[in-house]
Amino acid sequence: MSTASVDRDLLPVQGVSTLLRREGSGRPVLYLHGAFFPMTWTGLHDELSARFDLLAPVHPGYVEGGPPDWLLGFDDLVLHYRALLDELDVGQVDLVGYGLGAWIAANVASFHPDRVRSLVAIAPMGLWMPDAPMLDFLGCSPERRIAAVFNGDPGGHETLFPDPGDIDSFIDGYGQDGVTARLIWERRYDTRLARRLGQLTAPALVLAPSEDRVVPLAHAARWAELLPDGRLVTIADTGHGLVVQAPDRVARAIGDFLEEVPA
Amino acid sequence: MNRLEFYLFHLMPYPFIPPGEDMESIWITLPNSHYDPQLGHKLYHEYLDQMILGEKLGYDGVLVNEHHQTNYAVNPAPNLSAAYLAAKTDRIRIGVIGNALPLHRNPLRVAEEIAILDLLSGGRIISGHVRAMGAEYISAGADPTLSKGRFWEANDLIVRAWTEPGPFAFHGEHYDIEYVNTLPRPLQQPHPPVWLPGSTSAETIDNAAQRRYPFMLTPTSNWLSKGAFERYYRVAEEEFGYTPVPQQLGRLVHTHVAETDEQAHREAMPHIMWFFRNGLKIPPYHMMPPGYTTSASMKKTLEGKKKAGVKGFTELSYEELLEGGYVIVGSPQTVIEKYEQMIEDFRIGMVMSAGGHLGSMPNWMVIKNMHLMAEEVMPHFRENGRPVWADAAPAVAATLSEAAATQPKPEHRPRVRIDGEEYLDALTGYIPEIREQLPSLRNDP
Repeated sequence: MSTASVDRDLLPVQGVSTLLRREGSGRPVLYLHGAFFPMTWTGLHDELSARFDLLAPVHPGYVEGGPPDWLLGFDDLVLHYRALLDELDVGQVDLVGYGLGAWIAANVASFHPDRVRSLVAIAPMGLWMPDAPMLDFLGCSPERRIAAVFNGDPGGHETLFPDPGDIDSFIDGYGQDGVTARLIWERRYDTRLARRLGQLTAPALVLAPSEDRVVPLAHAARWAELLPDGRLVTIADTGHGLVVQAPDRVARAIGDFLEEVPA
Repeated sequence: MNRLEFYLFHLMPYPFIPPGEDMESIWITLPNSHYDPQLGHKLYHEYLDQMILGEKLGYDGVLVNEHHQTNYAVNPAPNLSAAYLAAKTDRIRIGVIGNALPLHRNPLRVAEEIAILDLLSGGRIISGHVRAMGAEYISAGADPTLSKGRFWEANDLIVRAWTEPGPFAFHGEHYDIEYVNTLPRPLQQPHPPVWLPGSTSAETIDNAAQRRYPFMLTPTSNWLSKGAFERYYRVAEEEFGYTPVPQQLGRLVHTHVAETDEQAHREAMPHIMWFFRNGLKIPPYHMMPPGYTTSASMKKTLEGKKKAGVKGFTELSYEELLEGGYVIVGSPQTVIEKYEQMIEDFRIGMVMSAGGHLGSMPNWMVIKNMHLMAEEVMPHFRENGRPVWADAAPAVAATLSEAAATQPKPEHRPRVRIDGEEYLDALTGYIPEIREQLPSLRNDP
């Protein structure tokens, strides 16, 4: 797996050493990564940090090889990120989440609406939509996962995924998937999420690729419908991997949205 | 004489499926439309009849286990097979090796079913406890990252349910059961033997050695087997201060015996290859879902295999399977020699899958294999050729008369109070003469 070599700080958050990279200046934007590319400083990070004070933590466990004992659900992450915001003393943030990260972000916003100025959900997952099931990306082959993320055309981005032929790379990915599994294995959706999205009054942007073979597009559309102040923007010619496929266009959409949200 | 106990182990596979190259996995995703219920009926009866025959032939025990959504082993409810075997046999030991504890939302179900089996069979049950294969966490939707914790907690809960007076409360990390008061209680005291079947995982071996649970090693090479059994002895002796007896250790190594070495190879080769190429066709992402083992442990295993050049099961040639000791095939004399070597090298006292079914083997060949094993191999490792159960006293009275002569009277006679009258002895009180003659029964409050 190619992990861009970046400087990261270990920030203690209530006793949990949290890997965090903070770049840029401007209004603080907290970016929560998803199940894929958790350790990668993507083109999207570059684009966002050029305009904002970008806070990009790595979720607990994704660096350490597996979920910590205390991590049993989304609420543990909500408390972790509230504590992280306290630690950084940044006040309100614009919250951006990608995939699983959008699901986490929605929970943070639900429980701490005062800390969230706006919400950006990129290719979000987590809604209970039995007619539009998500790919079982934890139980399928790595090849199938990569093909699904890039709609069959990885175009070189496959190197961002673990290399099954390289033990260290494979083990990194195995540990990261273990954290994802702890969060969503027994429930790949939250039946309460729809109601919670309906109660989030912050301005919200849902960014969807033009075709998503991991989380069917019906999910993003439903997110935008449920969010009272939500809008849906589609990034043409992209798949679930849009954050690495079209970082500039994703960043522009986020930037345009945030310009309309009062700081 | 080097003693050895002989167990028939049956996976009960359904081999009428495409070859390994043509399927992603024999687990989870191979469509169940391949399964023909008519053929399934025939196979179940052949398989169970083979195990029932094991008693007449003199096997020490028969073993079944639990697997889900796989043609490799079509026995998702092994306690049902065990119940059938209990009804159709009289003395042979019956092992469920095992129930996959973490797949149960309430592990007391296992405690209950094993207790029922123990009573029905007259105390012949061995209760194997397993975590379930990685693939079963995918098919069951059970969280693999919590599997180890759930397994050990469920194991401890089950043993306590069998041994401690109820009701008691169990408040675990994974199971919260306010009233543990399991009925029935098992016949064997303090409880049916618990076996831990497992691979070469150090954690399983260490825990088995600590708890003095017999450890049964699943198929692997001689080289890895030696390390696993040595570890059990070392951990028992150095960390827990006792020397295990060989009967605490068993090895699952499929053995095929025929009149000559050549004939044995002719018969067994296709079925052994079916088993290793097709039956064990499982991709790593089904075998090891995320969190099923720790990253550190996974890394150690992968690096060890890479360093030693260990091939995957499906990549091994027939010759490599024989040379590596994954299977044993030959004339009675050859098998005796290999078993003697195994006893010497591993200090074990039990062999499983000793002359039984494997993979796609037809019924007649299994029975021939079993007969030769019983007649030509077993006697070499036993006094008078007798299985363990032949020399053990039955756990229950065989007849009503024996029960009446030997068993203590129950603490309570069934009594009932009818409409404010005196207590009526339900067994005899309806006979007025007896009622009159036994005032103590009437007046007993």
